[in-house]
Amino acid sequence: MLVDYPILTLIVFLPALGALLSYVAGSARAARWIALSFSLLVLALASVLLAGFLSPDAIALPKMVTPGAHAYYAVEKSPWVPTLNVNYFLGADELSVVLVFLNALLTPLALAISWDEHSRVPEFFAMFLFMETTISGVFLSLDLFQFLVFWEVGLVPMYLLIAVWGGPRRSYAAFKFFLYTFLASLPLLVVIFAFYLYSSPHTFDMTAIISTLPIPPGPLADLAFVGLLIAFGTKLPTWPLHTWLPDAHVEAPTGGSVILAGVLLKLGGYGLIRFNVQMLPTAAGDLYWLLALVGIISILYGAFVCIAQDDLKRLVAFSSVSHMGFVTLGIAAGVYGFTSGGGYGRGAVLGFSGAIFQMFAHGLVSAALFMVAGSLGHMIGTRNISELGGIAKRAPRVAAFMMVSFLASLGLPGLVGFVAEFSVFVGVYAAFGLLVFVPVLTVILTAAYYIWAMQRAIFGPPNPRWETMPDLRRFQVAPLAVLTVAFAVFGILPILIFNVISAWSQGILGGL
Amino acid sequence: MVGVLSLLWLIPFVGSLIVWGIGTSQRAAKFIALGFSLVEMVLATSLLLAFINPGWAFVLGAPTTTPPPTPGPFVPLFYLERFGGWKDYGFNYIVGVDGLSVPLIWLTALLTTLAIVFHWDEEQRPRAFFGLFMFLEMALVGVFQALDFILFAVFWELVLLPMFFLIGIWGGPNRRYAALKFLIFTHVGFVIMLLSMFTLYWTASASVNAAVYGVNAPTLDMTAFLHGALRHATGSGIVYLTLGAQIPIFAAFLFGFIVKLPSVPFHTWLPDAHVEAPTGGSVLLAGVLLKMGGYGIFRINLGMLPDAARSLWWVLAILGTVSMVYAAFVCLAQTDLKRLIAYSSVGHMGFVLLGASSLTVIGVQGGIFQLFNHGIITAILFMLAGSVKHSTGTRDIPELQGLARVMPQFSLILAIGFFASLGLPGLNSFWSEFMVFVGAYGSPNLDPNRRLILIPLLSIVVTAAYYLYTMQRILFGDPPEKLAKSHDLLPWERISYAVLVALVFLVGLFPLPFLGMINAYTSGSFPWLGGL
Repeated sequence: MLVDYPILTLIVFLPALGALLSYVAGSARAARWIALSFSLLVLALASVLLAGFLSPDAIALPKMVTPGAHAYYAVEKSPWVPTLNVNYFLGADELSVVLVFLNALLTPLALAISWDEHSRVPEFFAMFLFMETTISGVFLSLDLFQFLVFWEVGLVPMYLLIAVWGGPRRSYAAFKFFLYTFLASLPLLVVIFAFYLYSSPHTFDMTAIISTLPIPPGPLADLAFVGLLIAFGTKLPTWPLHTWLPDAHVEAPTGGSVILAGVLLKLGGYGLIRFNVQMLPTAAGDLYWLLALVGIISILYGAFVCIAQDDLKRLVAFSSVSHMGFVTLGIAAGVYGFTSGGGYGRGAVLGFSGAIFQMFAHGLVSAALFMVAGSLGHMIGTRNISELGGIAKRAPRVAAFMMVSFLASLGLPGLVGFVAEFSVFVGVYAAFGLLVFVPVLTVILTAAYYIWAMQRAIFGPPNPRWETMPDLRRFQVAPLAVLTVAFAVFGILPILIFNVISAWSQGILGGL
Repeated sequence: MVGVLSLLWLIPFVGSLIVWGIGTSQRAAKFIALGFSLVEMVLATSLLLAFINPGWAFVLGAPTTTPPPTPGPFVPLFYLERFGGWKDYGFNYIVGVDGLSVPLIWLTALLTTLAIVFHWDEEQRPRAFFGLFMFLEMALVGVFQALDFILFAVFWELVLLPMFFLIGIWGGPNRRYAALKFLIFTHVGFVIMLLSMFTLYWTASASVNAAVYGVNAPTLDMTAFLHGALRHATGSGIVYLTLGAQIPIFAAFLFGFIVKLPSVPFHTWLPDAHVEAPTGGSVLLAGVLLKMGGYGIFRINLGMLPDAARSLWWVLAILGTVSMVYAAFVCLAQTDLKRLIAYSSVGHMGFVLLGASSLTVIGVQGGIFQLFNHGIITAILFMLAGSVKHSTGTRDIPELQGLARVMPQFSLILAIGFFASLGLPGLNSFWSEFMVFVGAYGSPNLDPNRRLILIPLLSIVVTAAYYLYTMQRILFGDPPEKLAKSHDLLPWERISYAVLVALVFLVGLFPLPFLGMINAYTSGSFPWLGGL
């Protein structure tokens, strides 16, 4: 089947159309179903797109190869403002298709988990779809100006989701989120200026910049690398730029946290690979150690702070900080392995691919974690682990899904998190040798805090307060069930996605 | 079509006479004023369409330039009209437009119409009120098309008159002080500019006139200086003002324009004038009058005095940066919504100076586009201040809370207006701010201290902070008792907002129509600007 229609424009803008229709829908019921239908339609399209990569014989995507042998698929390019050389330019490659699929998968799940929202429903559901548009737009943009537009516009729906539908400290959290990430995107703005000004002819075309590498190696490239690290590291988030995350997550509504942790954080990882590694390869070769350093500190720091958390949502938030440290570390290992001259080949590729796969895996896992934490908070009014106790008897569904999600998050073999972490470990060992013990030992810490939390919350003597607590309802079980199946599927058959990522990573790193 | 430009200022002039003077009742005044402003709007839109695409110039005829009689490069000016009957007195009637003036003329027509609509329930002496708006429109349109210094000066001063009365009679509690301050500041600026005009006339105009038009006589014809400066800057070897002669003239004109723009440190008339002016007055004051300053900088300082511009770019850069940073911080401390918006205008006009200082094609384009974009956005913001005062009786930010529940339509427009003003990508002002920064950053002037761009860049964050903070305080939370009965937007307010918000989104998505003509202007008039 040949994909000769503009599939990427549809993936990016159909949610926006859905958002508009939801917003003007007459009733809350209509708004919900319109939103869900559009998100499922987009999921179908994203699946077609992914299938185009997994089995190119079955689904043929139009391909564009740039000088430098980078291939982009389903490319759409038309002039936007010719006097500035800004184009409407969308294209997918192996990196972006995985993340676009993640976005398309998590959005209907986030809508499902929010089915019982009762305040301003049309606006609420519209906001999710609006966000889906901006996030897909970031992943699929191949024009720097367009990338920036989608990047910044994406702040607005998240800000409003937190500020209007959030918890008690929502005003503070929303304000902090917006201003923090807005400030952090200034280095991105300046580096985009630099790319534009150094390229000849002046262009915002990302494929051209990746092919021709306009910024020459040297102090400017290193400065640009650090600037971009600040911009994308704030989103990822790495220590020490992570402090917006706990507040934003805790105060966001459940569905908002699902998208925030599941997809929005991946924008940072995507940026690190697309910009830092692909557009500034020599700087990446020089400054890999900075990535590795902040990665390791994030992993450790996040894990230690988790042990001290009582609020379940805050615990999951800090665990996100810790898990995203793997992404940074994997990227560093991959880059070092190929630029240090040692030719660590397959190990480094595995580390780099592991980082990308970790983004996918963590997206699935943290979505489930936030669904559990959020639902629990909704049902009984508290998320504090110390106040829970023995809910396994009273609410077996909650207990079951909490257990599965925790085990996936701590990297139990057979579930998706393991594959990602293992790959990163192999890569780190190949590149940095025995330094791998640091993240490996952190796995023990992670297991500790999760199992301890599980023990206190789920098992043990039942707290009489929860005698009559409700269990999960259908609209909450459905998305969690989908995610649990996904954990298993991608835990046992990671090759589905890994092949695609690995081949691409080999190509990227080989070209460094 | 002959005389389209003269019609553009005659129509509102006739309108003001009819509305004000000749036998209209107080009730009919607004309808007549609206009628005239709509006719003006149609004409201005035809002009805009003719520039966007010459194929769309139905009645007007495609825009054509009129080169001067002598051979050589010339600045493209369109729809030129000349009546030289008063040449003996050194005064010509010359009007013409190009990619710089057409968006501003269209903006004037648009904002006048919307201001009239917004004041549909004006009770106090509506005849005089709307008559003054029409007169103001005439003067503003005249400034943007005048190409003779005397004509330019006359229209420039005529702008002061209606604005002084609009503030002084229909304004807030402190109106007399504000109106007088406005008058004195801008008039003093004007008088200094007048000195430059006379200096140009007595010293250089004869030789420039001879070189460009072959007439060896002093003249106040701006086109002579425009063509002459272009030829001089592109090395055609004509005799033009020396750098030493250009600098004091540049400084004097600059002084007049930065009082109008306004730039720190001559901005202090603006907060008072804006706060005390009636809403429609503020809309035109911020939306168009400030753009006169920007227009002047591009038309005269850059257009006629290129060597001085090349030497003194750093003055523009410093003034722009200081305006951006200082105004942003002052905004953080404001408690009156209208005063906050007034100071934010000071900050946004700093972008124009920064863009002009870059002396690059993209930076100058960004500065000009910023004039247009800011006009639209600031009109929305001042209308919002008017709406909230009308509805709740106060503009005091600490007293306003929870408006999202009581006035949802107002809140939506406020959110859009604030995000547009802070330069959110996807909306119109992001294009101009982005272009200004690229131009300033990449400008050869800034070598080797490019990191200085961080100073104005950081002001963006402070801007976002004060807008977000204000929005949160005003919109979210629970409304106190006394705000519970506030009405939402009135029907005529909704029309005005709808048009402006639509423009914000449309220009944000499709800036090309405007950028095209601005680009044509910049490359045609300033081929000596550095490409990057």
